[in-house]
Amino acid sequence: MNFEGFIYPNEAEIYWSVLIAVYPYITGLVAGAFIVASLLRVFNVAKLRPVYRLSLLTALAFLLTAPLPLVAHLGHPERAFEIMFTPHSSSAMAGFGFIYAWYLLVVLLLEIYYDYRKDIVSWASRVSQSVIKGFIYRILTLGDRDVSEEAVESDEKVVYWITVIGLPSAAFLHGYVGFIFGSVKANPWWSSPLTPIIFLFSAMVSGIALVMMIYVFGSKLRGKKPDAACVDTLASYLLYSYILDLSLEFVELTHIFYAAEEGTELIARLIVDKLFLTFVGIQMVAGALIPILLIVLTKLFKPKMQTAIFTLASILTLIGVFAMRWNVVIGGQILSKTLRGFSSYSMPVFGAESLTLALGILALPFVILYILSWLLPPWEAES
Amino acid sequence: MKRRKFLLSILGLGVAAAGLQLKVKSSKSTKPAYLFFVDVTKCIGCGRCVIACKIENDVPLEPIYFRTWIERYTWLKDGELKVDSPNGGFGGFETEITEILEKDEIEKSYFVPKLCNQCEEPPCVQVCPVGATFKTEDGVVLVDEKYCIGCRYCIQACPYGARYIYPSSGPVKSRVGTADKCTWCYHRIRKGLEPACVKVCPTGARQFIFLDSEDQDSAYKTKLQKIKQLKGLRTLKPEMGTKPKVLYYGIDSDVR
Amino acid sequence: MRKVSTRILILYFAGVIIFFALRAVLVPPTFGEVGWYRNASVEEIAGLETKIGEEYRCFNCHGNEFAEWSVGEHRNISCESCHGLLKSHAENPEETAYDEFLSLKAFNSSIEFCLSCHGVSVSKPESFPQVSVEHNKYWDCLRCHNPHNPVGGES
Repeated sequence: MNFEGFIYPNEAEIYWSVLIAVYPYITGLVAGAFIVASLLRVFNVAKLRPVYRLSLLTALAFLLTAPLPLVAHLGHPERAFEIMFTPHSSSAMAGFGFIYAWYLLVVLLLEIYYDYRKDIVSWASRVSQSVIKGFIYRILTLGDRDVSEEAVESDEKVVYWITVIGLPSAAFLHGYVGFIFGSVKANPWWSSPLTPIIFLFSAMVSGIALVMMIYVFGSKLRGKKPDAACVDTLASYLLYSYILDLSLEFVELTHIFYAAEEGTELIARLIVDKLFLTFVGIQMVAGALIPILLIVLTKLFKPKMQTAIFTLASILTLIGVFAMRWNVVIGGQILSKTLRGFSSYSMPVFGAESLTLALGILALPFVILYILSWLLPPWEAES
Repeated sequence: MKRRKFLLSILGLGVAAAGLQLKVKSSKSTKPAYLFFVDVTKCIGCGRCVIACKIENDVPLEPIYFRTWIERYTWLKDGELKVDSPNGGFGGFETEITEILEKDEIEKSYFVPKLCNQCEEPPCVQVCPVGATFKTEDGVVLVDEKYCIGCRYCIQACPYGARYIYPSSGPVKSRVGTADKCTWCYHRIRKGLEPACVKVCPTGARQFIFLDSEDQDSAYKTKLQKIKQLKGLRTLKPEMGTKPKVLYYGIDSDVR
Repeated sequence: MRKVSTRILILYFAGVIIFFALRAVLVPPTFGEVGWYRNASVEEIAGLETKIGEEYRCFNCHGNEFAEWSVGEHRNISCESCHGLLKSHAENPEETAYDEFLSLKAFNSSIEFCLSCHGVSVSKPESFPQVSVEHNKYWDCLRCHNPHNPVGGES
C-alpha cells in the first residue's frame, strides 16, 4: 500500500482505473468529431467539405467503441443491461444507455445513412465489385432505390434536421459525462458546475484535432495531398475552441484558489506535486500551450510546412486532452476524501484494467474506421 | 399517409406504455427505526469491533477492506493534527502513538470508530444507476449483491469512504465484484440483536438504539433520552447534506 | 412518407418492441415493488446467518462463570468480547471454544491478552484502568485477577 498522509482505509484501492479515463476521452472525440461535421451542415463552413463524411464515420467508429471501457471495468459485465432495463432516475450514470442509444440510432446512423443514401443506391447497382460489398449495399438500400431529384432533396433535408437535433445531442452526450464527475459532491476535485462545460469544450478541441489528424494521415496513406484550406480551417476552429476551453479551465482554477474552501491546500499539492507531469507538463504545456503557439505562429508567418505543423499540433492536442481526462479521473481519486492525504495509482501493463487493454480499446476505433471507409468511402466528395 | 398515422399512433402507445412501466410505484415514506451512537470518550481502541465485524460479515481480512474501522486522532501542541489507522485498527493499535510522536509534544489524542452513517439522504443510493443499492423502509442502506453491476460509482459518491468492492479473495463468492458496506448488521438488528461491533465493544463506546422498540425493554428509550441531552453531539461532514444517523459524542470539528 | 423512411421506422419500432420484451423477461420479479430495488433482497440480507450465539446462551453451561461475571467489574462486557463469536461452540459444545482472532489463543500470553485492552495509551480515556509494565512484568495476570471478576478477587 502506497499512500501519503491519512486516507480512509478503503481508499487504498483506486476504483476507477485508466479505462474510466479512456471512456470520457472517447465520448469526447465522438462529440467533437460530430461538431466538425455540423460546422458544414448547419453553419455552412464550406471549406470543411473534404472532412464532412470522414468526421461522421470517425464519430461512429469511436461511438461504437465507447461502451467497451465501461463494460470491461464492471465487476459484473454480464449485468450491464440492467442499466437500460431498470435505469435509476436519480443517477447520472443511468442515462448512459439511453443517451447512447439515442445518439447512435437517431443521430449518427440516420445522418450517415441519409447522407450516403444516394451513393448506396448507385453502389448497389454497380456490377464490378466484390459479392459481399454488393450484397451489403443491396441490404442497405432497404429496398428503396428512389434517387429522383425530390428524393435526394428530401434526404438532404433530413440530414439537415438530424444535424440540428444532433448538435445539442452531442453537447448533451458529453456534457452528461462531465456531470457524472461534476456531481460527486464528496470529491472537491470533481465537484463543480463547470465540469460538464469544460468537458464539452475539451471534447470539441480533441474532436477537431482527431479529424484533422485522421484526414492528413488518411490522405497520405492514399497518396493524396490533403486539402490545405481545409486543414487551415480546422486549425482555426481548433484554436477557437482552445481559447474557450482554456478560459473555462482558468475560471475553474481561479475559483478553487480564490474561494479557498476546505481542501484547497490539498488540491494545490495535487497540481504541483502529484499531477505535475500530467497536469502542468502534458495537459497544460505540451498539450495546450505548445499546440496553440504552433497554430498561431503558423497562421502569422505561413511557413511552407503548414499542414505538417498543424498535424503536429493536433497530435499534441490529442495527448493533452487524454492527460486532462487522466488528471480528472485518476487525480480525483488519489486525492483522499479525508482531505488529509493521497493514495496512489499504478497502472498494470497487462491484464484487466491495464495499459495494454486501454491501448487496445483506443486502437479499435481506427480498425472500425478502416472497415467503415472500405464500405462507405468518405473521400468521394472531395474530387 | 394512413400507414404513417397508424405507425405513429402505435409508436405513441408503445412509448406511453413504456413510461407507465418505468414509473416508480410511489415509494412509501421511510421512517428510521435505528440509531447508532458512538461515545468517543469511552473508546480504548482495542479493535475488537473491527475483528468481530469482519468475521460476522465475511469481510475480507486484507487491510484495505473494512465495513468498520478505527481512526486515531492526535493533536500536537503546535496545533498540528496527525491521523492514522494502521490496518483499520484491526485487533487494536500495536504501535502506541508515543512511539511515533514525542509524548510531551502531544496535546490530546483519541480514537474514532467509523462505520456506515446510514445517511437519511444517501449519495451512494442517489448515484446507483440500476437500483442495486437502496434505503430500506426502516432506513438502512443495503447492497443487493445479486443485482450490483460493480460500476463503483457509489464508492466515489460516499463522502465517508465506507464502501469497497468485494475482492475475489473474500469468503463469499457471490459477493465478488459487487459493492460492499456496513449494514449495521442488518441480519442481526432485524432479529432484535445488536450489531456485532456493539456486542463486543467492552466499554460501551458503540451503542445501538432500536427506535421503535415498544414491546422491547425501555432501556433503549432511556438511552436515547440520555444521548439527546448530551451537549456537543456531532455527525460527520454535515456540510455534505447527507444527514448521517451515526451520532458522535466527544469529537472535534476536525474529525471527518 | 417515403418508402425508405417507413422501413427505418418499422425497424426501429421492432427494436423498441424487442427491448421491452427483453425487459419484461429479464427484470427480476420483486423489482420496484417498494422502491427502485429488488425487494426480495431485503429479506435475503435480513435472513443471513448470524455468527454470534444468542444472548446469554453461554450461561446454560457456564454457570460458575456467570456467578463471577455478573457481580464483577467486567459485567458489562459480553462474553464474545473476550471469547469470540462462538456460535458453533454454543450450538455444539464439542466444537472448539477458541476463536482465532478474539480469544486468549490469539495472543502469545495472557499478559498480552489483558494488555490488549488495559495497556497504557495516551489515546485512551484517562479514567480507563491502564496497567503499566511496572505493575507486573513477570507474573501471569491471572495469578491475582480473575478475568470474570478482576477487582473483586483482590480485596
